[in-house]
Amino acid sequence: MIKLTLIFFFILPLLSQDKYTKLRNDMVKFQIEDRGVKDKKVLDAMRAVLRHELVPASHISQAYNDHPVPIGYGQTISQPYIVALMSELAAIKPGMKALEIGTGSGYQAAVLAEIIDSVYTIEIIKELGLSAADKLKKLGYTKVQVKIADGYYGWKEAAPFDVIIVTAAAEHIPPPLIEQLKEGGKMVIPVGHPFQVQNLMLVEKKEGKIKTKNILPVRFVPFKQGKE
Amino acid sequence: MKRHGAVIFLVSVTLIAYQLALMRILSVVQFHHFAYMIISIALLGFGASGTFLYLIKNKFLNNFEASIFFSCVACSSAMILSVFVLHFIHFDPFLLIWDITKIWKLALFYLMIMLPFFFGALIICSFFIKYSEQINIIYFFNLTGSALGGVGVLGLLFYFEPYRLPEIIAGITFVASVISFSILKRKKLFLIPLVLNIIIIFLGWVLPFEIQTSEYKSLSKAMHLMDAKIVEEKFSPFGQLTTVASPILRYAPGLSLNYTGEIPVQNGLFSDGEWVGGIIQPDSVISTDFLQHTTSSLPYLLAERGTALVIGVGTGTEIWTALQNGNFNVDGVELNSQIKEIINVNFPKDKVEIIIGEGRGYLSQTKNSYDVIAIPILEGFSSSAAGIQSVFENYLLTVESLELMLSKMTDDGFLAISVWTNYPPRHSIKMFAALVESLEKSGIVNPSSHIAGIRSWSTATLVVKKTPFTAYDIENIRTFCEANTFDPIYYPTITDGEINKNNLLEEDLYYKSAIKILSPQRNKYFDEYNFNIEPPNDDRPYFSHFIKFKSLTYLREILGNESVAFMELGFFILLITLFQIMLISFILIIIPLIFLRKEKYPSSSKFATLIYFGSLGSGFLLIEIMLIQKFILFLAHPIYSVSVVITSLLLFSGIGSYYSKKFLNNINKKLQFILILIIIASAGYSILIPGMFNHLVHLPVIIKYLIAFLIIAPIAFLMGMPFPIGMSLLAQRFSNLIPWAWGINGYLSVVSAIAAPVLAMEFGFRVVIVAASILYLVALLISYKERFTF
Repeated sequence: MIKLTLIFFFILPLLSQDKYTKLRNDMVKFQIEDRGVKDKKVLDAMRAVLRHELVPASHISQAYNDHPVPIGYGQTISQPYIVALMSELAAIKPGMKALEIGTGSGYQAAVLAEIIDSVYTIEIIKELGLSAADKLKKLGYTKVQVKIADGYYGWKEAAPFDVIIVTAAAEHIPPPLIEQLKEGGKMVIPVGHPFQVQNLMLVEKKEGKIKTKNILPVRFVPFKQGKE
Repeated sequence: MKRHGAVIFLVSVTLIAYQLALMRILSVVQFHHFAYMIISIALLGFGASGTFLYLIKNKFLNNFEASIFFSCVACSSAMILSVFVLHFIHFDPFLLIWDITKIWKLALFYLMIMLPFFFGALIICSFFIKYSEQINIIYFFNLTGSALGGVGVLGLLFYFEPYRLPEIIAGITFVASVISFSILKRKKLFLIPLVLNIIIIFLGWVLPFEIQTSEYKSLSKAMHLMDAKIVEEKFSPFGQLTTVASPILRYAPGLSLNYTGEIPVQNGLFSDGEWVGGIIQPDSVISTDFLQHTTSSLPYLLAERGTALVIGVGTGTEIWTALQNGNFNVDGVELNSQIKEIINVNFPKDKVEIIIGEGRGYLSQTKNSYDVIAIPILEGFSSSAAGIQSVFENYLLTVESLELMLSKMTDDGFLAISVWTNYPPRHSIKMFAALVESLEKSGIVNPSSHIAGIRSWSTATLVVKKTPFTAYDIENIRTFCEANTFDPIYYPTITDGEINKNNLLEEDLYYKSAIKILSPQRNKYFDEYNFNIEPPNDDRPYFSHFIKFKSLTYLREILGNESVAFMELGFFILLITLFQIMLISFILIIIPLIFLRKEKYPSSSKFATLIYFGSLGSGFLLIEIMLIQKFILFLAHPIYSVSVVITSLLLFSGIGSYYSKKFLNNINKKLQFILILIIIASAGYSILIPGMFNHLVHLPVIIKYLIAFLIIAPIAFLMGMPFPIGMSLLAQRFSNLIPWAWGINGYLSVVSAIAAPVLAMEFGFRVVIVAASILYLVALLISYKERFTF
């Protein structure tokens, strides 16, 4: 009986954890590194965040797959590669302050929080915001500040930010967000349909001038799970 | 036969009405193309009924009256029960791309929607077998009923919300159930199903179930926004319009990143659940100048004052842009009168007039000349990215249409078109090419002096002029770009040092393409470019179709399968649908052949049946689609074209069928003569109609409708004959083949309905007509070879 209890409570979760660790390592290797993301901090963060804890229970089996996963309310958790690429483009370094517009599942915020201490995230859909805040807290990301509000106005009290990541495609960029971007700061925005590999736009503020750069993610290596 | 005729007529009315109603419902709750796919598959119910009837023919015919009654009850009840079941299937086709385990939901969708068509077609087909000597009359009732159903449902859509229609249509089918009940001998036995039928319809009406709306539709997402509420809903055959208010809804396409002011809160307008645009309130136009910081401002900035024409008003953002940028009087042309009702209250009456009509129709009729003619940004932001529009004809953006616009401009006027920029670039490049070609066709020798374009981080605006751009114009463009951190795509005198400074691209393909398009290497460049950027024309009016088969491998390599599919989702869904239909049709056509082996029919008869009825089913549909396409321009909207063509084609085909009996004496030569006439007429129509329409387009709508009916009548009359004549001949010698022939005709009709747009997109409508003529020619050859003995 004791043996059974031990197996049930300790060994099975460990096995399952092992499974997810392997999936995560494979994800980083084949979906992210092989496609050219090199920033070690980002790669380590992607290895560390338990993505399967942040997707809805009904989609856990797809958490580490090479595609976005639905999280309800018409929203998705971005494809791992896009999260990594956005984080790399934002050039996040320890000591920086980041603002995320569109918390969604909380995954991008968790990745940022693995690298920096000051992460502010705003979600407009109350249910998503509450769920993400709760999950982030349980996963130990206690310093991530979650606010349920209109992202248009940014987070004035905490501004300016070194990095702003907008997680949903937008047809305009709210002027307050540009204003809250620090001189030399970077903003990253996806462009396109959430179910496709999206183009990313990098907005940089240099000497008061705003410039954008379009980045087309390219699949250099088709993802083949489990193959070296 | 009278009561039987009434049953066939009513069932035919409801089958086509139910099909169109479902198309409308599924377009609202899902996406247009998935709706198209699902309905197309469901229509295989027609073919499946033939296969099924072939297999159980004797049992069905031995209890004919009872079988007809039960089929009517099943058809009517299935119309309600299908929607009931679908209500509980939460199904998002987008997710199938990632999670193939949900394919069973798609299969269940197909099955549920297929059932009413299956039972309905079973009724019609069984009449063909039972009363084979009167096939011409049965076909007459079938076609005229379909004609009424097609036009009737469009009428209903003005008065009822789409989700109400299944109950109404099921009610009409119930009348057929009652009539078939009245024919029965031992009525008591059948009273229970009849009562159950009416109870199901009653419950459907009292407790209507709606198919769940996809959570990925723009409207569903908007309703999750803070304090979002629906403030207005309107419906018509053009679509369901929904106005949503939320304190956080804002819309400013491609706004300059230098703009530091407020973007006003706007109500959002949605059509069939998809984003149309933001409705700006007049006071916010006064308090902010945000529209002056979009690329769409360029033509007004250059023209400064005068008269402007906006084609496709939408929510009116372009009109406000004109009013904010200068002293303009604006005419706006909008097809949907309900949109006018929603937005018109906001405009200053002395400055703005909204005209209800279609852009090209208005341009053909107006005697006005404009200082600015503008076509606002097409499609929503996300639907553009997803290539939703790729399979829709767009006659506004063809070279012929742009030529017409140029002819309505003042000498110093500007024609401006705004599009989303997307990567890899394609929309604005194709537009640039179309504008250059239209300038050339308008007699301008050196188009490079007459065109300019700018881009922001997400939009591009192209401007052309009949006279060359002046140094003053060019300086204005430079200053405007600099002030708003936009980049020039092209203007006369542009140099390499002026491009790609603010919105950086690895390679400025916009500029490079502009230079190539203006050079003698234009056609070579079209060939080399990885997307189809050749200017669309009236024969291939698919502006948003960009995929080239020869580039697919390369694009898949760099972007992955899913992303390539999303670049032109509409087209890929069409291909998948065609593949599915061909596969299912093939299987269902083959099954009866296995059983036919037992019966001693010569192989040549089976082959002749397959080819003859297949050719007719396919050829009929291709001509129908050609006529719909030709009449869109004349009647000014696809919905008018579809309703007029389908109604007149089916009605006059029905009359043709009725009279076909007279041809049964000395059949050989007469049928061959009819088939030859159809081939000549289809080719003649495709050549003569466009020219004829150019002279008649100015006439009042009612007269145009009458002309359309008169033009379609002769060919429709002829097209109604070969099928019943073929069936009658088949009945004389191989009556067991009738259900199989009916099935083949049904399958090939559906295959052709999907294949026609694919053919038109790749090769143009001329090829569709050639294909139709060849198919009728094949039927002709079969009739010669087999001498109508099958």
